[in-house]
Amino acid sequence: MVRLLTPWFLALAVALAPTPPTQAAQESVTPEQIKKVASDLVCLCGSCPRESLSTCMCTAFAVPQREVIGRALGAGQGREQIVQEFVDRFGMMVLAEPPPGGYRLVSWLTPTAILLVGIIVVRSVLVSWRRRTPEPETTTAAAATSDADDHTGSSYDEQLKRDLDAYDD
Amino acid sequence: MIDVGYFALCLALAMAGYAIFASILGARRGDEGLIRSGENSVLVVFGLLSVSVGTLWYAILTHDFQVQYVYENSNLSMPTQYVVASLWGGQNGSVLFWGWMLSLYSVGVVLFNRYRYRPLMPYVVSGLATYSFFFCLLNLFVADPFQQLPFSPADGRGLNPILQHPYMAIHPPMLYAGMVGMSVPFAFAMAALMSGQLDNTWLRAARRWLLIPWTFLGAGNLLGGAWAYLELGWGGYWGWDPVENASFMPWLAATALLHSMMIQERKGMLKVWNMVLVFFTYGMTVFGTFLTRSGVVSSVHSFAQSDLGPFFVVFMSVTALIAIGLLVFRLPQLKSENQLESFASRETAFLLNNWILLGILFAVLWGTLFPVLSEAFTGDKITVGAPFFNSVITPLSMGLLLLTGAGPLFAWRRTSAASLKRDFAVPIAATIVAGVAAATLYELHTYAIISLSLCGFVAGSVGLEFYRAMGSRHRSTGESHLRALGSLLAKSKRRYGGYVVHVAILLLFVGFTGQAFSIDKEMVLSYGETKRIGHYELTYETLAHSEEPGMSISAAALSLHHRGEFLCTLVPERRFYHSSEQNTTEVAIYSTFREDFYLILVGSAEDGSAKFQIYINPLVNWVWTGGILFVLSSIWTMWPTRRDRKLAAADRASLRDPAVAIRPGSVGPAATA
Repeated sequence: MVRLLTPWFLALAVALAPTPPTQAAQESVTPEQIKKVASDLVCLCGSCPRESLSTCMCTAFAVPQREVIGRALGAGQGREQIVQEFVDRFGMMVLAEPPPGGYRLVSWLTPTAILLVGIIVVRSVLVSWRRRTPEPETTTAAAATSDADDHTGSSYDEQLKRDLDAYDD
Repeated sequence: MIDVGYFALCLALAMAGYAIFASILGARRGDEGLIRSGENSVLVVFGLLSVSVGTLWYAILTHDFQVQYVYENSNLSMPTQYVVASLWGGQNGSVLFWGWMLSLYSVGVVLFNRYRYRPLMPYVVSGLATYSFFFCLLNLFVADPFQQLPFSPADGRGLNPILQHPYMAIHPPMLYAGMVGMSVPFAFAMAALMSGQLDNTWLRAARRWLLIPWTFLGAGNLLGGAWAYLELGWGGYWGWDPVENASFMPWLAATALLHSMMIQERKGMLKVWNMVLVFFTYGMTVFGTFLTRSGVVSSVHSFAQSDLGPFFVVFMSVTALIAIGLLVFRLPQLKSENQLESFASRETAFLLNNWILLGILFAVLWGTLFPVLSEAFTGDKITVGAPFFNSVITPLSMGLLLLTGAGPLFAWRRTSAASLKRDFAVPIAATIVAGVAAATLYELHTYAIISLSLCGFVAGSVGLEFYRAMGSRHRSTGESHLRALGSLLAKSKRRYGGYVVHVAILLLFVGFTGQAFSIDKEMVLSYGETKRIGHYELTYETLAHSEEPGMSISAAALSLHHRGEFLCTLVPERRFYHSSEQNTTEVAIYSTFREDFYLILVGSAEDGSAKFQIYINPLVNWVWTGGILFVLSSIWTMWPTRRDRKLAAADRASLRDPAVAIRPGSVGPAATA
């Protein structure tokens, strides 16, 4: 059954309705400008996985809060000021990234430190493996019978045959 | 009726307990009868849990709302397929379903290994039965799906509307199959440590049982992405949500393990590391389950806060202690058999591969846990969203892509400088071609150009491997090149099937890179109005509202043209679900391999004008194509070869010979297979 109005439709209409006092100013604000500010923030509606406020489509939080950003931009507020107002209202969890300063530093330093430790471990493992190695014989015969496939000509053909024989039917 | 399910669950707990006892005692005494009895108990546990699951399913399908779980997760207006899916839509039902899947895996392990891996099997069975015991405990004491209300409500609350989607109906079982399946390789590793059978036998068994859940996890993650793309309406498919991360981390650990296992098989090295990785992979699945089900992290996917958390913490701690203790005890028997001959070798490439995969894993883990740690230590609630993950993971992924291409170019043991120079020439040429093509076709975006160039590198490397192998086979057998390709894929499923998996990963990366060139526009259109977006023209035709069972629907019709040529009519919807008073979006997509035209109806006004959000997302279809290829090639890789079947037949024959019996500490015939 086709209906002209449903409860949610009314809610959307309200969300879409311009706010009279700031209408003129808001009209000069483009959706791109709004999204730029909104990309620093996340949606806190509780029904989405804290999506970026710039992309979330929920009418409970994201759509009306983007309207708020539009009005703030229309009123001449800057990006940082608007973001700070959101932090004041909703807390630091509204920020898409950890807040600048100690939090952001720790959030970045930890994975970097783990990666550095990891590469040091890999290097020491390789060096210790290498140190225990006797001088390799590099005769042609040794190379031909080894599994060090140099990917060339007949040795490669033999290696492939060995692999197919060894691992499959 | 519902009591039958509860009673079956109680019996399953008892039988799982018996399976642990019989298997361990059987192994200690070398009593084959007890060992078989333990194995048969696992089959009984499966039967009992099937009765339990069947009972709950029956209650759901007959709308027995007196059962609290049925009342909370289904209602009369839900389509049948989602009523069926509500078995795993809520906390308690999904724990039961999880336990049932575990019992199904256990049955598979028992039946496939009736004649193989005999010295390991009692310990494998006891390990799996312990995990089953744990899940039965959870269902009986903290997540009872059979709890009844004192009255019978006329209708239920229903499943969350955003979960009522075909992909969401199959995505959770896929992930469960992936998460729970990681317990099998872990059980084989523990069995090796407990029995002292520390040769490569356990590794060979574990590898195949690792590939199955690894494929399920990969497929489940991709299905989750497809669901998010179609249902959540934000134009993307991966949001780094904690629950998405919880299922991605074990997949990363398992991928690292699949590579490092090869070093142990070929060179007898990394024995301790492989044990650690098996523990870690399994640990990540238990930890991920804990994250999802304890309410520690907030997410749209997570289940409500529950009492499960402490149980998981105790289980994780005890398991970790036993595993680490056993590993330390067996350390002297886990020495490397070989040494590294050259840094320029495949061994080095695999080590670096492990480093990057685990680096990505730790970065994801850190980003997921950072808000929890912050709140615990400072009381500050913060969010670590997509910008953090994208910044950290993107450069690491580039390194992984580079290794995916470079790894196959290195030989085992050592690769000569001349060989490297020759082998890298084609992939490097492919890198340059791909980079130039990407820079010409799309705007200059540093990471995207690097990513597409590296995709060219991987394509060149894998292509070269196939070309050379085909040529070699052509020379040795006289087969045509095409036939040689078929032979390679059929005879060496592991090696060449693995390369096809690399091609799938390459396609996925091409698709991921497309996100860098995504365009989004928001616009208000009046009836009949046309606007140009990119090289498309979009005309708003009409808007209609309708009532369907349980929901109100508003649908807009828009025609899409490309340079004047009609392409299709797009019908995005917004839905309002009455029972949960929740709005959802149903996006409309015009999809090609080049890009997706992705349209969302944001809202409408009384005069009929409507607001739309539009995304032009390049290369998304490459992600889905890569996903399909990933699943197919993974199945192909793990499919038993004729040699496997011959070995299994030989094992059966040898164990039917009464001269071959299992004795404590003996090495069965499978150990030498």
